[in-house]
Amino acid sequence: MNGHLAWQPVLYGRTLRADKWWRVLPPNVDVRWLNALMIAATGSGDSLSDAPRMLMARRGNVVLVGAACWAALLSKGMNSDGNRPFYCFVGWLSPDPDAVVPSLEALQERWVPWAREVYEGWMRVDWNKHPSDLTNAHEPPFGAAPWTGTVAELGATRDAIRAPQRASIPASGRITVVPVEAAGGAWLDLFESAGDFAIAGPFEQPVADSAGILTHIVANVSRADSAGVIPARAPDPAKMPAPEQAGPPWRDSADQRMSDSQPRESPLPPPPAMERPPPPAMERPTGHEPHRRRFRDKAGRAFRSLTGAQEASYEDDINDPRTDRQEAEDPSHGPAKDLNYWRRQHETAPDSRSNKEPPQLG
Amino acid sequence: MTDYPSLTITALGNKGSGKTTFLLGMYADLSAGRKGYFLNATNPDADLALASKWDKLLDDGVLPPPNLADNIPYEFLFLDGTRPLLGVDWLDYRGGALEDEVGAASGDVPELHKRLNKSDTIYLVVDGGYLVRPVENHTRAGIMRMGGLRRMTSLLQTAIRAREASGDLAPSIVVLITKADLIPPARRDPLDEMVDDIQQLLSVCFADGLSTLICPVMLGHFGLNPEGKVRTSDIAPHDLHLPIIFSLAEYMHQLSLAASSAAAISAQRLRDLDTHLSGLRTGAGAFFRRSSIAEKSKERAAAEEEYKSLDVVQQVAAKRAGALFGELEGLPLFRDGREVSR
Repeated sequence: MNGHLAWQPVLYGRTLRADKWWRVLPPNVDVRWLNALMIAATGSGDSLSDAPRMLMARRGNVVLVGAACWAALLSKGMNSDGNRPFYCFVGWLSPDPDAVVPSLEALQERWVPWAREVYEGWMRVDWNKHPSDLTNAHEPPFGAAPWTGTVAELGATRDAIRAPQRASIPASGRITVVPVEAAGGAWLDLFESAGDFAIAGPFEQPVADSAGILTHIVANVSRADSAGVIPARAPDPAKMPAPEQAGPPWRDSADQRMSDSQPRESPLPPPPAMERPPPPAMERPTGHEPHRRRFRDKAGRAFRSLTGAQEASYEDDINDPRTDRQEAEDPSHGPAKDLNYWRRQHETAPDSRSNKEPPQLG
Repeated sequence: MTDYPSLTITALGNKGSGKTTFLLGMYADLSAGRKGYFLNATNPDADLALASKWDKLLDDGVLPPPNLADNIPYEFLFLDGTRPLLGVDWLDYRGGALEDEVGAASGDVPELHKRLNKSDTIYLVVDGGYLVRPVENHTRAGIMRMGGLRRMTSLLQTAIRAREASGDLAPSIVVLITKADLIPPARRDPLDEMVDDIQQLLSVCFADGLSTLICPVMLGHFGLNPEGKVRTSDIAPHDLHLPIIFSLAEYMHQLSLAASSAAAISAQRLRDLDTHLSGLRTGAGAFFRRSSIAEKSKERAAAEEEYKSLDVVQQVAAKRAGALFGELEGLPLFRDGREVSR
């Protein structure tokens, strides 16, 4: 099915002038799912080796396949801000249930030239743009995958390299560690499985998935060491689909569409001229309320609110202390709210007790 | 973290200003201990990750790569020896998030804005490269824009307003000048000229109600625009621990003020109860008010206990604050816009 226009490129990488990462992003995809995959695959750059780290993931009918790498692998000129090297992810995404991914071996062999074409083509559009011109990612057109193959051919590959034990999707919240030599088989087994998954690697060693999205990690471990599964980091709710959005990440709602419909070679707007108005005269604050008194007032209010429950126990009688008190307020934050904690701390340390006498009646 | 009072600290800084590198250096310094105080990541894996990145810098001179759109939270414990004093909640993020809209596809911006509003301390990270020469009228606007200082000012003002609206104290502020090695020594010591520059660039930090420390720090002598790698022989960390010392000193200072205020209220209650008891014990019918007298006496004992414990808290917190502020000697510290440095 890859001859059909079933695939859209995905490019995640920052530009020379802007710390913004989505360059090419298909619309109607849950971007939080994609964000979590990007974080998992790139590992914030610090664990990337010289070789690309492959990724394949599926939710519902949507499949993403690609790799993370240092940008220098894909471009000689667009790979750093002059000081720090950049990393990126280039892949292809399809909502077509019949779309076929390449084998891991084919992807590893050919990904760099395929990705280079995507990176050079799309990154060039944004590379020198002013940050204010990078508000939205580009919407990629559908096209044919750069690889060829059918399900039958993929199945034949799988039969040739099949591992003794087929990879399966672990229970939620667990990550299966796959040795590098078994990765190709696991890759195909997962593609043929029915459920959602995300596999990435190779990693130097089994790592906790910082994004909480991976089900399988390919790592440099022996088969014996990879017998078990490791717990994944709990997914950050802020990065994961909300409950009502659970299910396939491919959504049709119009509000998810990006406004940039097509890449465009628009000329850069001239950078704004540096404004040079005379700075306002520095006025040093004068005549203000003393700092200590203001803090004390706030702290006092907070404490009164903390002791509100005790105050309520006083009986209504002559000269009742309650009559002088302010109404209880909501507890404040900061040190005032911690007073009871610190009191308990010092109560458990008898040596620190004060010898100061309580106030006497005048 | 829930067992201890916790400080939320957020470092606001543009991309490439040195937030992540500062975090690594600060953690490496304080996790090894300073005068009996330690900073320890509650998650052993986080401790290892921070230490290994620091080691990579020391061994191979590799500076940390830019963060991607992944807010990385860290939970630390500040310890006095082995005794936990405070939790420290820290977030590392990509500097570009400051300039992104809340609805940006990266998804990391709302968390940063929400977090700012609950931050007890905010570090405004200023790249020392902008302070190599004195700020002048014609360079001020450019530095503010390129250093992200205008945006920081706006976000800080929003956070202060949000905290005021919810009854919180304003955050304490550290103007953290990174890459101080770029600034000529004559401008670093004394700091007077640079303080004047910061007052021009970040005047919001000297407003009424704010406590602000100006703290230049450096990781080494790398020169302008170092490549991804630096010479390990140039690494010479300096004062990376001081910003967090200030945050803790401010916490202890405010704790002592809060305890003092609460103790004053407690003392007044004690006096009122004494008056009340005196009234109950005097005059005819005192015999028949025995149960009321017993109850009030019990309340008085509790109030006395409360007063004493608050007094201890006040004294211990003031002592700790004094010791911690002592570590900041020579650094410009402002309260309500007035310098109160030691």
